[in-house]
This record gives sequence, structure tokens and C-alpha cells, in this order.
Amino acid sequence: MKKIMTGILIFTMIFPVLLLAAGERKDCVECAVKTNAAQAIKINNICNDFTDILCKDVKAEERRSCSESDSTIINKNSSAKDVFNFAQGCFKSGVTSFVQFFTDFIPELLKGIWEASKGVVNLGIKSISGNEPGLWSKFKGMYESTTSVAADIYEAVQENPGAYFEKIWSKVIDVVGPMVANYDCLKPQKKVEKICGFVAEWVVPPAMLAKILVRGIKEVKFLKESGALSVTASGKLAKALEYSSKRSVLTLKELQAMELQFKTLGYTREEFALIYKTGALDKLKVTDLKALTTAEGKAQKLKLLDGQRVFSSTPVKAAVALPVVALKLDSDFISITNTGLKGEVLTGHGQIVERIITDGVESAYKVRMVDVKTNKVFETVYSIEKLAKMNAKPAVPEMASKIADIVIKDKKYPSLADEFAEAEKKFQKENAHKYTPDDMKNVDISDVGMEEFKAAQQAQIKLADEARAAKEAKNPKAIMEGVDTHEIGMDEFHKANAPQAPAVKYENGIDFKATDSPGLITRSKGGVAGPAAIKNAKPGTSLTGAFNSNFISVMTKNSMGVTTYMPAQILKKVFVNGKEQYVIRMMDKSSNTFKEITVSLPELKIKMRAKDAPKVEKDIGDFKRQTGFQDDLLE
Amino acid sequence: MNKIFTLGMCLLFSFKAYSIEFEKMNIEGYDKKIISEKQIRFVKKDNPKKAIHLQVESYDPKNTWNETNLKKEIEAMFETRKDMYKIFGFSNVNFYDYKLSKYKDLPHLNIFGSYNKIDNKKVYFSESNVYFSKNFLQVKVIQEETTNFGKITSKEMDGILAQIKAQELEIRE
Repeated sequence: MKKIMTGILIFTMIFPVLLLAAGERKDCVECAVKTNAAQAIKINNICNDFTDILCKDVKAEERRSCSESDSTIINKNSSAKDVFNFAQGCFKSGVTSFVQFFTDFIPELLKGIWEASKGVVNLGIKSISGNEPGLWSKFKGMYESTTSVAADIYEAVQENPGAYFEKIWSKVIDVVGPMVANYDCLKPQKKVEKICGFVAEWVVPPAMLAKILVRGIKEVKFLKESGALSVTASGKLAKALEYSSKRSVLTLKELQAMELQFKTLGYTREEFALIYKTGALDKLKVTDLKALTTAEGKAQKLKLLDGQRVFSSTPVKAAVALPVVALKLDSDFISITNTGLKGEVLTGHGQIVERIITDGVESAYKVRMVDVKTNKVFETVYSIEKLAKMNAKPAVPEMASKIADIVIKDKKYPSLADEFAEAEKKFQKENAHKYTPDDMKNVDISDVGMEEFKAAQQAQIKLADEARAAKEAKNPKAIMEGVDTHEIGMDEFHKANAPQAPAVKYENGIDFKATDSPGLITRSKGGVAGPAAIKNAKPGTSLTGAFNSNFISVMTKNSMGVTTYMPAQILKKVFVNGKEQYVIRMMDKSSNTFKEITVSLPELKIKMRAKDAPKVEKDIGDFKRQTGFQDDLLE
Repeated sequence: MNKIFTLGMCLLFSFKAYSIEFEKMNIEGYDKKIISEKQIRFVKKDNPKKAIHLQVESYDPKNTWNETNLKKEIEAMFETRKDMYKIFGFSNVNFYDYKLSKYKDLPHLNIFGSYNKIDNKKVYFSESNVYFSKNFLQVKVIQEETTNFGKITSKEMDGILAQIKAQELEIRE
């Protein structure tokens, strides 16, 4: 009778969480709403992959939704009262106290775990012989341990009962789930029904549950053979075990484990899904698979995929977080133009899916291109220079959506070549781009080589000249900001040192203030120097104190991996999260533009191997020209 | 099922295996809650993260601890306890110290250790087992990690045992 009693109490622990599972869906929906769109899409795609594999034969009314794929039947937030209510709901019984669970069931369960862990087989099912050698030594400390751990559980469970129930329940599911037909595909409520109706027959008393928790399916088989179960329960269990041993569908857990094996070898999830779904695994054993880095592995992959190419079904949207200034791209769907071997003009379309950064510098892009003749998708890497030379530009909207259809949704079109050409032509006609002077700020026209750019630049220069002239007329000192006078060696600046001008917008579009202008010289202990300090500054002083000049050389790598030193200028000292950092203006050779980066002094000295510019005068001269400084304005 | 359950409950309440006068038991600075006939819990008034559990349980008097094999036996117990904790999601179980001694001429085993709860918060425990003729009393101080190391001193444990008059506890069978 005590076994029956403890059996009932088992379910005070286990089954409350089952009923609560039905209530979990509301939370999941709310969670999904909170999830950002990109994540939601990703999860749905993943879910669909495995749902398609696992659940194709499950009736729609019993089949879980995609959002329920990871739903457990445990609610981590279950309170003790929830647990109690669940027990009543599952058993229609009159369990009177949640505390009984701790005082009766848990110690019994812990004793069972002790026995199972010590290998004391059969205890609680068959009588044991006290003469068994070493048997009693196996119990030394058992009572101390069961009371001790029970007290710990009592304290912990009060804080978070759901989490602890989930822990135990997941172990039960590990054993029982594979014996329930299509368990992973069932709706949460259906899972509850299956478990309540099935496990209740035989997961009593606690000692049995304990052994199942410790020994898993072995114990279940033993239970069947031990004769400890009723005829009905034994029959049901036999049927379940038979299903488990003969089932052809993997459990979600098994599927995930297999996917991990494939991932380790270099396969993507999509490739694995395709291989599994098409039954291609019959061709090779998983254990015989080799890594894709080997020739044999590559051959195996070809065999498994049977010539099919698989790309990630996860949309890769807006891979380009920042506009590519040299290319003026505001979309990651692009069109490019190239010249064929016979001099013919070839047009390509695709999507930039990955930005490749080398040593902190944007150097190239991985591009997924559409071959419009064959309608096939391929991936390649283009340096930014190459893309610029191929006149990369945002794809026209109509084409962008079709590119998306192909590269993301794997949608097939008969042939896009003519369609692309026509759409491109139509768009160009309707939306001839009109460049403004602003467009020119970050464009290296020598690479792009477009006449309209040159014209626009002339307009820009003219505007800049006018602006400078106007500014000079008002405040000739303002234009001196940003110049490291002692390196450039212009006495004029010293003459014009005070008072400092207010913030002024320099013509190249970068805002400088009087207090953070690049040429300001610091005192040796740091801090921004005032006019007097500037006046009295001697050559050799720098903003960091670590270099002789604010003009330095830093090491960079180009897209080919070749290391070169590039001129750079320390513009100002800033504090980021309380840490001293420096704003550096340097040339980005890959895009042929200037960029400003913020680095710490160690990063500057160690990672970028910064040093004083070796030929200061020449470098500064180059630098000035490249950044747009014009000496004539300083005279 | 209801009938079986009712019968089970009746039988359960008829099993008065032990009797200990928990009603009279108090520990200064702690609130008391009687959990069952065999278990009582005290919670520190100014620190709810510190609790003391008192339990009585049977043991096999012929199979007691002795200094000769103590290290080996404690290690074996530790390994099995780890299995128990693991089932419930506890981790990082440690025994830092143990000592077999006498408390008022009664065998007395002290264990000091720690574990991490499922939320990974560390808990220190000091466990004191006092052995009577057929049963033993376990006093377990459980304390969630604080800035101080969670071990309670033997003096504090002795103070608790003194307050509950452990050596005089009437444990009827």
C-alpha cells in the first residue's frame, strides 16, 4: 500500500507540469512577438526543417505547430500550488499536501537513486539476500545522504519548483518518449495524455522511477521482465518497447545528435536535412563519413546530395550594415557589369551576404550571384576594388525581389537573362541617377571612372572653394584647425593661435571643434592644450605622448593579405567607457577613402604597430593632399 | 483510485515511526516550521537564505562509521551523493571537510560542503549527524553563498546542538 501511496505522490511531482504545458503556448506566442523578425524567421525555418522530417505522417489534429517544437511539458514557472493542482487534474485524486511530496516521496526516490547508483539491482522489487558479499557496505551513508539531499531539495524547490520538475521530467521523457509513437510531433496536450495514460501504469513506486532515472531504458526492459508489473501494464510496456525497437523515425534528440555529427564534419544544417529527407543516408553509414576537408569527404557529399546544391534557407538580409562608400550601395542586392573574354558586356546580379574584414578594415564581400542564363546560384568573393571596377550598384527593385526569390527562397524562373536586361534598361531610363556634390565626398573617381562623377566633383570643389573663401573672410583663423603646426612647420599658425575659433565644419565634411581639432598639442601629462601651449609647443610633442608627432604610420593588410604601412593622423583623444582612446584618421586603401577609427593606445602600438611617420614631411604632404588639405589656404 | 488514495493516506498517517518533541524546540534568532513528524526547519530571521533542517532517520547500528575506513567511505558516499544531486539539476558538488568525533559521548559525523543549485547559485552546507542507538539526528545548516565563506564553525554547530538539547532528544520508535 505504501507503494501505491508513494506512487500517487510521484505524480504530485511529475504531472502538474504536464497540465501546465497547455498553458505554456500563450507565453510562447508572447515570446514570439517579442522576438525580432529575423530571429523568428530563422526559428521557423529551422523548425520546418525538422518538422518536415519527423512529423510528415502525423495527423494534422495531433501534430504540434512549429512554435510548439521546443515546447516542453514543463513550465519553469510552476509554483508549488500549480504542481498540486496538476496532480489533482491528472489523477482526479485527493492529494492533500504538497509537503508530503518532500517528506515521503523525495527521500524514497533518493534511496532508489542511491541503490541504482550503487548497483543494488532488484531492491524494492524482489527480496534480497543479506548474505550477499559487500552488500551492506553499499548502504553506508545512504540514510544520511537521503535526508541531507532531501533538505537541499526542499530549500531549492521552494524557490523554483518548475525548473527542478523539468529536470526530472526531461529524464523520464528521454526514456519514455521514444516508446510513444511520434512523441516529438504531438501537441503538448496530447503528450500529456499519452504520458499520464502510459507511465502511470508502471512508474511506481519511487524506487522504480529512481532506477529509470539512473539506468534509463535498461531499467524499463528489466521492469517488463521482472514480473513486478500488472499483466495490463506489462502488456502495454511490451508493446511500447516493441515500437521503440522497431521505429524508423528518429526522435528530435536523436535527430539533433545526428545533425551535430554532420556539422562536425562540415555539413550545413540544410544539407543534413536534405540528405536525411531524401533517404540518401542509406547510401552511406554516418560512422563512415569523412570530414569535408578531405577529398573522400567531398566525394561522399556529392554522393549524398546527388548533385543538388544547398544554400542556407535563412534569409541573409542587410548584410551590409554600413553603406559601402566607394560603391554607394544602399542595398545588399546588387547588379554588376563585367567584360567577357570577347569584350562583351556581361551583367550579373546577386546579394552581398558577408562582409569580410581584414585587420579591422573592410576588404571584400562574399557575394551570392545568380547566373541568369542557367538560373543557378553560386557564391564567390570579390574585393571592394573589383566590385567597384565592375560598377556594382544596387539592383533595381524589381530585380532585387527576384534575386531574393532565387538566392533566399530557392525559387526557380525559366530564364532571367532577358528579363533582367529589360528591367535594368527600363529602370535606368526612368531613374537616371543625378549626382550631387554630397555624393562625391567619399567616392574615388579614379576607380569608378565615370564622367558624371568628375563633373560633380568639379562642382564640389567649386562649392568648397566658395565656402572657404567666405569663411576666410569672416574668420581666417578657423581654417587653421586640424593642422599640426609644429610638424607642418608653419609660423602662420602660431601667429593665428588665439583666440581659438568656435566649432567649424571643415570642407571635407568632418566636424572639428576648437578643443578637439587634430593639431592640438597636449601637455606631456595629457589633456588638451590651450592656446598658450600651442604657441609654445615644441616639435616632438604629440597628443598621445607615445609618438613624436600626431602623424604616424600604421600597419594594414590589403585584400590580398599584403602588409603595408599607411599614413595616419591622431586626431583627438576621447574617453570610451572611462578608457582613454584615440581617434585616428587613416586611409582605407581597399576603398580608397579616408576613415576614422577609435582605438586604444595599446591597440595602436601593438595591433597596428604604429610608429612615427618615417618621412614626415613627405607623408604629411601626401596626407594633406589625400585628405583635401590645401596648403595655399594656409598662406 | 480515490479509494486507494484514501486508504493510502490513512495508512500513511498511521505510520508514526518516530516521535520527537519539535514543538518545544527553538533556536535563537530563527523562525521555526514543523514540516513533518521527522523534520523541522528553522529559517534565520534576518537572513532567509540561511536555514537549518533537523531530521531523524533510522540507520544500521552494526554498520557505523569508523576512523579506519572513514576516508574511503566518505569518498564513496560523496560519489553517490553527486549522482543524487545530478538527477535534480544540482552541480559542482564538493565536500571540503569531514570529521568523526563525539558529541556528549555520542558518535558524531560532521561534513562541510557546497553545491550549485539549478540557477547556478552556490550553496554551502554544514551537516552534523549525531547517532543514537537505532536512529540518528541530522542537523543541516544550508546557506546560499554570501560574501563570507559559508562554513559555520564547530562552535556554532555545538551551540545549535546545545539549544535543541540533542543529547536529550527523545526519539521513540
